[in-house]
Amino acid sequence: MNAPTANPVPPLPFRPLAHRLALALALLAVFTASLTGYFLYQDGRQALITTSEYQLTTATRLLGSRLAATLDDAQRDIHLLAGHPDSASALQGDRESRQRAETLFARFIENRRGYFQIRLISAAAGQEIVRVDRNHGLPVIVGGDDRQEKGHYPYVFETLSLPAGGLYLSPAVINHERGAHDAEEKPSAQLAIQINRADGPALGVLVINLDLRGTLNLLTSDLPPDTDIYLTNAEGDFLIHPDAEQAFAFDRGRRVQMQTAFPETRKLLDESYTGSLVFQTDTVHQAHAGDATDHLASFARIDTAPEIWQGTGQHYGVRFFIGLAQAMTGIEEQSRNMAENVAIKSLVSGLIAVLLAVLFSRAITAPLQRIAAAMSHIGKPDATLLPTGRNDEIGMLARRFSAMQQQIGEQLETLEMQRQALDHEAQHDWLTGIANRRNFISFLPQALARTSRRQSGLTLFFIDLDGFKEINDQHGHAAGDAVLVEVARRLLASVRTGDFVARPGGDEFVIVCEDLRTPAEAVHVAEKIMQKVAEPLVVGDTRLTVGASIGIARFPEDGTDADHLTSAADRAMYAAKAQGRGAFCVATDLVADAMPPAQTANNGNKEA
Amino acid sequence: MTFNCRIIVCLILMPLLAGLALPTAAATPVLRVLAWPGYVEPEVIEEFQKRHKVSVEVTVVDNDDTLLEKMRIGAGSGSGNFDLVAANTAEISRYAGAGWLQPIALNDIPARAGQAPRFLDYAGLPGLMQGGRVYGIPFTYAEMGLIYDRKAFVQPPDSIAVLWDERYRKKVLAFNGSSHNFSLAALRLGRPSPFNLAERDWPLAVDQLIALRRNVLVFYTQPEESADLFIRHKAVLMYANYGRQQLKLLTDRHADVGYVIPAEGALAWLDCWAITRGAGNVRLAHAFIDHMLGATASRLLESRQGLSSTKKAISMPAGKERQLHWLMPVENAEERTRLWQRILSGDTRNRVLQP
Repeated sequence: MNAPTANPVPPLPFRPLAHRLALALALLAVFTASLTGYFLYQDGRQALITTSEYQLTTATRLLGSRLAATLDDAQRDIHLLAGHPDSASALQGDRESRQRAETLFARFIENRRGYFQIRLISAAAGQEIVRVDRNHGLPVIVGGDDRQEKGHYPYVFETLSLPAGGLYLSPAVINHERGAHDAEEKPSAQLAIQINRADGPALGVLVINLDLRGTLNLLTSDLPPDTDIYLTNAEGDFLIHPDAEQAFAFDRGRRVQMQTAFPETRKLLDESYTGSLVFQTDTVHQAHAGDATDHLASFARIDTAPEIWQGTGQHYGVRFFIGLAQAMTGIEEQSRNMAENVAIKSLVSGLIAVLLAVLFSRAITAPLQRIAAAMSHIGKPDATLLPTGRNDEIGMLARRFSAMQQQIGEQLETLEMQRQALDHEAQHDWLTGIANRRNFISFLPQALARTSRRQSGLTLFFIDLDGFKEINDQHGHAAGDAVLVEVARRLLASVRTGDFVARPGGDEFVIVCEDLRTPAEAVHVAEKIMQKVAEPLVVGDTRLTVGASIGIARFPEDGTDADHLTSAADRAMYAAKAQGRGAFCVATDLVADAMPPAQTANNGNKEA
Repeated sequence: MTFNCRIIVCLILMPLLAGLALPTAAATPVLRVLAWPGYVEPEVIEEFQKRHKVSVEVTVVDNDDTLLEKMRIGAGSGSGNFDLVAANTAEISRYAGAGWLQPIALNDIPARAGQAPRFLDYAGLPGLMQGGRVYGIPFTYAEMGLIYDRKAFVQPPDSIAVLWDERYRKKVLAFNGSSHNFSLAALRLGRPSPFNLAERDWPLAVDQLIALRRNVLVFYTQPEESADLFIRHKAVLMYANYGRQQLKLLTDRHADVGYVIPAEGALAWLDCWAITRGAGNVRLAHAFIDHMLGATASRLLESRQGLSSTKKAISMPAGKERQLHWLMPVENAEERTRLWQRILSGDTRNRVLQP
């Protein structure tokens, strides 16, 4: 046998398509949600930064403009004060003018919070003639010995070297001049103007000492408190810096410059570069706090007051750089909040997507499962209904499968019929339609067993036709066959329904009658058979007669198994044959009488 | 003490750093040098390394405090972080006193023969000798002479008194430095030591400085600033606190100026080479000092840095050498500062001398 199980394949664990499809769809959904969330976050964060950059740049420019405007205001003030007749008169020694000038200057100090000092200094000796200082915030008129000689300060000699009416702004310095009251050791710059006599020569200078930090504080009061403010001179040296150590470093023999601290600002030093600059940096606090927080910084170059002469740089106009920096913690915090929001929304949409994915995959795979179920019940009466009504691929598959199912059913039916026919042919004599020898061999033991269980009797008749050979010889095989068919019909008619009639071969027949209890009953049957067989029969237009020699064996008397019983019946039939035509012989009698017929039976075994 | 070294970016000059990476480098002795900017130029190092088959590591410092700190750490580490150090006379004196230096074997430095006599008179130089042994070899110096406009002066000014000359009122530039200015006043008063004002000298010195204030255009701070002011305001005289460096700045800008050491002498600082107590290779350290007194180092010092080497001056006969007052700690630096701030601020004599 070529068994198909020669290479046994272990069955694969069942992994439902629905699960995998659901997983794939869910992953896709979650991935899409996450990706969308990520890009949303990135874009949002960038938008936040861009907005902050814009705000910071605007604030920086605004601050620069305000500072420039403050310088404009100071210019207007100094022109006003220098043009006042009392200024010139005071320089020429007029006492009353000096007192009026002092009062006027005090008013200005009172009202202009960005001024430390207003002074009139004579050209000849560099002596302060009028001096009003700010002391603890209030104007104080400085007189007598407290007025000093300032001729050797650049704001005096540089201003005096300018053309009449020339304006001078000193470099921003830490004011080390002793006795300067609030200005002492403070960042300041001197704005000075020449005052001339009507006929030309310089009488002296009027000097306004500007409070740099105070001015800047006034201008930056509306900035957010965590904003760092930077101010540098034209060379980039820090004048205002959140870390006081970095401001006016040149005053302590060091240089700390914007372009070194923030290399990004180098391009602001390029004359051709206009506009401001915004960049992210982590160096804002590194120098003094080791803090590398990311900052957003904006710097702008401010060129203003083109009529002012500044000693440094040797050209007219005032240049400074201004910068603002903000920790990005605010932006980071907003980004973090945004990230959380996006994450939650992504999570929710992801979960919904997972749910939808499960439902969707079920919707797809449920019909497939029905098809699978239908396949497993193919040809069985409980075949499930296929989803043939659908107008999609699954419907198409179901319809094709249904057609296949029907075709297979029909073929199975045909096969069954053919099998039954074959089975019948194997068990029955092709000529007479009664059971054949094989059928008899398998029937007898079953009948014996049945009889034995019922404790009843069974009688076996072996029938051999007399004169058949002659018919065959004289009238041909067709006539012989017709005789055999007729005999079979008569035998069936001569026994009870349910009795077994077979043709083992040739002109021999066998009958098994169950439940025949007495020999008399058997004899009666035999006589009936002989009578029936002996009746003349017509084949074509010929009348023919055959006889029957019958051997009778009874169970259990003549044998307790099929072999012994058959042998006994065979012997009896030969014994009957030996007695002459149309005789029967009972095996029991035969054993009791003599042995020879049995021997004859053995020798003349003519099984088909 | 003021050093007329331009404050340039601190560099670790290790031009042969790449050489250290070569496989043979491990065996090459390393000489570690602590110096001021511009003292040990790359060409000088290269020459020395070739000649002695060694590697030289130069650490550059630009102020006395850093120098002191590095010396202190080096001395504390036992073996010493550096073999050689360049420092001014006052610092050399301090290091030698602390036991951080070892005496120099003068015979191992033959190049000393080319030095001007005043730099070989170790006893006459402050702080270089202790216990009869020499701890520093003079290397470079600058004296604070006078720069004058050749057109305004037919003869070079011969005395510092010219700074007070009213003919040059507002045409004189002086330096904004308390210590040096009181020393200048002491010289003007004819005191033997400019660094040690007697009690009675203080008001006199204040008077001198107020008079000076009234005569100057400005008290400058930086060399570049002084050159700019000198040219723009057509000054004729300048007290050159940065010495020949300022002269170089002015001549670079085509100013027709001369330089003179006045008869009273000039304040001057002197930087010397010294060998640390923990120096690894003493013979090599001496060879390095010898090399630093050689032609290449001296030439570059003068041409590139505007500093003076200690070689024999060719243009100036030894006999005409004016006295140099090597800088020494002053009697009362705080008092000089306090008074000077008042003078500078424009106070009157009474105000300045108020307690």
